[in-house]
Amino acid sequence: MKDNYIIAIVVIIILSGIFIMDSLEMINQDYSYYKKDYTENFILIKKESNNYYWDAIEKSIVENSENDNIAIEVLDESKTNLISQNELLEMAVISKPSGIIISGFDSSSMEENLVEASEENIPIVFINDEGTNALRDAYVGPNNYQRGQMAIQELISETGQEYNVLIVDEYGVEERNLVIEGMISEINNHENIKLSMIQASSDYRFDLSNNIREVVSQNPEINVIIGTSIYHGSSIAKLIIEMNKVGDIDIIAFDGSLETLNFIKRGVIKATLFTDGETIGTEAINTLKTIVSDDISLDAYYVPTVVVNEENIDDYIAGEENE
Amino acid sequence: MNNKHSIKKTLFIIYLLIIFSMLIGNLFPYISYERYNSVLNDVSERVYDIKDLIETNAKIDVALSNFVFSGDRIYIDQIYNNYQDLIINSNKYKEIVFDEKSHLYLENIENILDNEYSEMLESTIWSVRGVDEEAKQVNYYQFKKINQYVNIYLQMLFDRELENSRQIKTQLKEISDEMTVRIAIFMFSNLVFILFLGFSYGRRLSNNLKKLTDAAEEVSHGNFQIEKINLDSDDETLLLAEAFNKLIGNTKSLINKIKDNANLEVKLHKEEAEKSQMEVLLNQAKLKGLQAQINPHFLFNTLNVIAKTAIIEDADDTCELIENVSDMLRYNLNNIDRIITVNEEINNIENYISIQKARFGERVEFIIAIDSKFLNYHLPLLTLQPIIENAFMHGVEDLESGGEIHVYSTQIENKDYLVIEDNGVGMKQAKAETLLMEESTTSHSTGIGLNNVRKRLEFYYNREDVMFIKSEVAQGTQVFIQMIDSIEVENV
Repeated sequence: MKDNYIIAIVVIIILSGIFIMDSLEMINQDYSYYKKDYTENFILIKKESNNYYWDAIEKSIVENSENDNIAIEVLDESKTNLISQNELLEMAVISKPSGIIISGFDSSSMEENLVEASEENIPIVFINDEGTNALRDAYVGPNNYQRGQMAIQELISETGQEYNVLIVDEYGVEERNLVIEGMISEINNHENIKLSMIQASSDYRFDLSNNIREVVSQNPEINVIIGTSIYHGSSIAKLIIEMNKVGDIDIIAFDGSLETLNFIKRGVIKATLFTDGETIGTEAINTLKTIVSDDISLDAYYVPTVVVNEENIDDYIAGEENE
Repeated sequence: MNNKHSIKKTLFIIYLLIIFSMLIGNLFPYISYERYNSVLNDVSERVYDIKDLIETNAKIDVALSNFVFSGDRIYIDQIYNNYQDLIINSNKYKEIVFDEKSHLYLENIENILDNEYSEMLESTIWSVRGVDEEAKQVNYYQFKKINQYVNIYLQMLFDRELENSRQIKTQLKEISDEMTVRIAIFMFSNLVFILFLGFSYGRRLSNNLKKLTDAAEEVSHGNFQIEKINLDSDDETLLLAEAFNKLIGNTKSLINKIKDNANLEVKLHKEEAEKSQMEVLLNQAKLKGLQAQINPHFLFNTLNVIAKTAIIEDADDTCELIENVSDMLRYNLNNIDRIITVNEEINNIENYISIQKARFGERVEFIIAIDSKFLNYHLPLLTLQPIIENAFMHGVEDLESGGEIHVYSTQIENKDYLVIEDNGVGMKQAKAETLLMEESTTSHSTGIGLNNVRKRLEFYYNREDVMFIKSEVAQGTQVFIQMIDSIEVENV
């Protein structure tokens, strides 16, 4: 009993000591300053912002650079108010990073800045779109020519039927030649498949539906629509539902969004061809690291394209929902 | 006051702990507030610094435009001064950014400022001085584009730092909230322990005081037979308990001493009373003796004349008788408080018996049979003669013949006795005991009755069971005197 209050005093002193030490540490924690801990800095120029596909690429690039003292800077139009990829590229090049990852789409228009990068010894890795070989150090992404072929091959499973195909392309035939070339080459191999029209949708966010509605109305023989952009699949599906043409017109999409997968499940979209964005990001950063460390140029690394249709939709839709 | 934990000291510690807890509990919110305030100010300053960079970059653009379109050289100083500020401040700021992205943006800005920015600035300024309008225009728009890229990076840096400052504010808020909870827990836990401490100490103090007050109450009711107070304490209450215990001990020993003195006093009083009674008895005996000493020389001279006359007349028996009477009287005239041996007392009674034989002739027979070991035992003077005289007077005197008086020693229940036994007429036991207890009214030759003999024996032996009597009508009487060795008598 006599010792009780001695114990209490000791406990109070210990508690106070712990509280004071812990609180002081908490109060005085350092809120500043970043000390440079990266040796290389790469710039990723996203072709699209707020887009699941490009977000997946960014995510895997960032994740795969974290343990290698590499800083990743991401430029896209939403952050810079610069619409043009070329301007983003120019801004990136004059910042003198250790490497740049950019879509090879419309690479010829960016030639001047790509050459400038080359002169500054800044390696360029194209992703998603292969672009001009001479202007890049490597390509990581799908085999677009093969993807075009695969899209048409999805149609010929049903023998005997005639297909009049409308290809919807993001910026027009001149810009997307590889996918279109692949399709055309495959269409030429099949007499029952005819290319009715290639429809450009430069500002797809506003007038895609109106354009397609008009084309379909004027060309009632069209029974296949192929949307080559990741935005096309669900937009065309909604239009076909609206036009009450489900079953009359087959849709081939080029994206793996959950919306597109759901339309496949409902039978509105016939199939979709998509390439995993995270795999592209992972391979892109690894390729750039190799180029920088070994000072070499690499050729194309083709990331496999997957075809999802009503036969295997359940395997993919479950995975997407989980994600 | 060597106690380790005085009440004052303990209370002081409790108060100190309360003050300490309160101090910590109040000090930390203040410290953390000051710290958070400082961090928040710092964060705000950074954002303003970036805003300054953006403005500086815009000033360069404006100054260059003014220079391009006016050709006024005054703007060149503005351009270079602002450019220098931009370089210096962006470099300086690069060292105090919050994260990798901000650092990256500043590094990009630095690269652009050091290369394309300065080159295009120089080119534009030089082209203004030249005559090539197309070059001037191309350079100017190229610079504006690069200026815009720097601005974009600065805006991105601004956004990033704004986001960082928001995160820091959130973090500070969380820390502040956590600090509040911690302080609450700290204060609460300390309060609990201090309450426990106070309650525990208070209870102990109260228990100890209760023990003391209970004991004091018992003592106030005169009960000093209480247990020693043991306290679980090392403060002043312990001192109080020890003092109290000592007080009780001293009081108890004082009371015992007083009781002993009182007992001693009673005993002394009793002894004095007994002594005075003894003196009365002796005086009584002495008085009787004095009465018998009335002109003893005349009596002895007369007895001598008679004895000589008896010799002349050849009356030898008469002469012997007279001599025996003379010896007996001489013996009886001794100091009554003298202690003599049994042997001396026996010699005296033999004189008495020879006189009585002359009187009673063959009617009475005397038998003396005493163990020789008793002959040296001591007795008060005239112990046996009054008893034998009593045996004559109340026993055998009235017998026509066959009277016997036995004086002998015996043992009863391992005690030694001298017995004077007669086979006379006897008496009732009650009457016999009366003889022992009452003053004698009968005339003895000595004037001393059995009661006197008993009391003197009791005083001499300092005990009450030294003499008793047995008698029965027509069966004779036995008087028992317990014999105690002289050594034992001294011890008694």
